[in-house]
Amino acid sequence: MLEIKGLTKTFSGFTAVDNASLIVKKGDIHGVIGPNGAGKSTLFNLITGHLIADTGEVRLHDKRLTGLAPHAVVRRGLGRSFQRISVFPRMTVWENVQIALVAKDQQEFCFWKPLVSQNEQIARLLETVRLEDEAQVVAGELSYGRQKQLELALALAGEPHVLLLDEPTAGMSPRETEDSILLITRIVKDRGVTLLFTEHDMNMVFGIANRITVLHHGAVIASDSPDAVRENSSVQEVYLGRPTH
Amino acid sequence: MPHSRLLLGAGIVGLLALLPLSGSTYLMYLSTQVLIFVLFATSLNILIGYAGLVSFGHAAFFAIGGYGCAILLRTYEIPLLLAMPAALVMTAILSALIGSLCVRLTSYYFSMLTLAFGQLIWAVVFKWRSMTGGDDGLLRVDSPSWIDTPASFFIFTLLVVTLAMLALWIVAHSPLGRTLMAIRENQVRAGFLGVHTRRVQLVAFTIAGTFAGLAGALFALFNRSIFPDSAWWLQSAEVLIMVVLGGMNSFFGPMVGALTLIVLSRFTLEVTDYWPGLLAIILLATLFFFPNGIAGLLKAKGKR
Ligand SMILES: Nc1ncnc2c1ncn2[C@@H]1O[C@H](COP(=O)(O)OP(=O)(O)OP(=O)(O)O)[C@@H](O)[C@H]1O
Ligand SMILES: [Mg+2]
Repeated sequence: MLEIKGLTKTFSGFTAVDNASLIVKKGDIHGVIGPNGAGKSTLFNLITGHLIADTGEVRLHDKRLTGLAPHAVVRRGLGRSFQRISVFPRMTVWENVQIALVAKDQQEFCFWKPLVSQNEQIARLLETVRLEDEAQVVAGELSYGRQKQLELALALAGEPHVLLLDEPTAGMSPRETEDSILLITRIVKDRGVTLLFTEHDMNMVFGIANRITVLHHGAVIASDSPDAVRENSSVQEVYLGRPTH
Repeated sequence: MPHSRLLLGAGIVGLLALLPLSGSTYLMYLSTQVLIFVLFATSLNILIGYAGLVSFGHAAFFAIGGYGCAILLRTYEIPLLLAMPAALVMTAILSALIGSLCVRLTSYYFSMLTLAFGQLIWAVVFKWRSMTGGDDGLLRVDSPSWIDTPASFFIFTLLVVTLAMLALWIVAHSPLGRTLMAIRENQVRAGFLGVHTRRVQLVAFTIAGTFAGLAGALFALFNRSIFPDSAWWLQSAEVLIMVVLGGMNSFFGPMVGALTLIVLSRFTLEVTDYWPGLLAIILLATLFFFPNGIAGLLKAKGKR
């Protein structure tokens, strides 16, 4: 479904993503792991058109995404959250979701009539991410964990086929982490979306993913089932800190 | 809430329509000028307040609308009811062209680019003597007989500005208006919701430019003349100050700003020539002491 072939990205001589290839199948919960600076976020940014790859390509439903601007990538059925929270901080939670729906319905150019609020849809999305009680709170005043939930709602509003979550539980308390893992897995199942995510918390990754890709210095060193990845010797070297060469 | 606002607006317009009964030409003259600048400032606020794009060259479109209307009316003798819409179409096209280059950049770079284009338009107006009259300006821009008294012109302006303000109100509260605010807050996130952010900003730029052009056309008719000054950066700065003074975080703020500034400038010019200096002081005072403008002050008072 989502196919990544030979992606490479260098930043002034430094190779952040190195000839990375992987395939995400429909319905997969696919985790991407790797030490800090392994190139996970860069990989995501390449997929979503935020960065332009030096070489390689990304295909979704067998159509090229490479070269498209972010807004066009979203229109093809991709949704994402960011490692660093990215919401509309001075708008209320409600207004945040409202904007996401305006965009989804491609109403953003409509200047000739007042905005009509799609109350039901907004309420449903807020319920999905359990923010119904905070609807009127200004997004920037929510706790960190709640802002992440809001981001999830924004990503889901577009009804994506593939959801990219960059460290969805980073910075959360253990309690929040557990809650949001349950939330994410439930949403993925209910909505039948395919999930590609990064995470540092190994328990979480091995707990929910049915497919795991390991990045190291920008290169894919394994892309397999959780068990196979666990047994993989080069992965063990990376994570146990033994020299790789 | 919107209903009570609408009623209030209708009430104000209704009262203003009675103004010619006062018989004071001076009052009508002043009110016409205020109305024109209310429209001009509100059009700029679509960019500043809603889109967060600070244009330093908004007067360019004011001048394009003004010259366009004046030239069609005077040089080509096209009737006003055709000349004005034609001038607006012209302003819209030029706004879209200039806007498509300006919205490629953001923040300071956007502002600098609008300033540069504003000055470019001024230079064109200044140099294109055969068409614009150069620094002599265009004189004898005569309105048709049905609006050539201060009272009838005032009523005409009131009608046009009211309709235009209604249109701008709808734009500000439309999905586009809301999307502009989202882009202002977080352009990257808006992009990842599927919004073609630059194109939305371009539509806003074009709308803002076109309504400034309408204000410019009214201004040319009002003065029965138009000069290159109308495109000069000082004119852009003045309308910018109206927006900031009135309050850019509210739809009606710039209205208050335009009213305040024009009335102040009238009274000041009668006693001193230092209006630009005073203008600078007003701007500084606003920025330092009430950054949300007069509208912000009133709102804060209301809450207490
Ligand atoms: N815009 C950029 N310019 C220069 N270097 C960059 C840029 N973005 C990322 N890098 C570098 O590329 C490497 C990969 O970064 P990336 O953010 O993709 O890693 P990551 O795997 O997401 O790390 P983390 O787990 O800390 O989020 C890092 O060394 C980073 O410093
Ligand atoms: Mg990262």
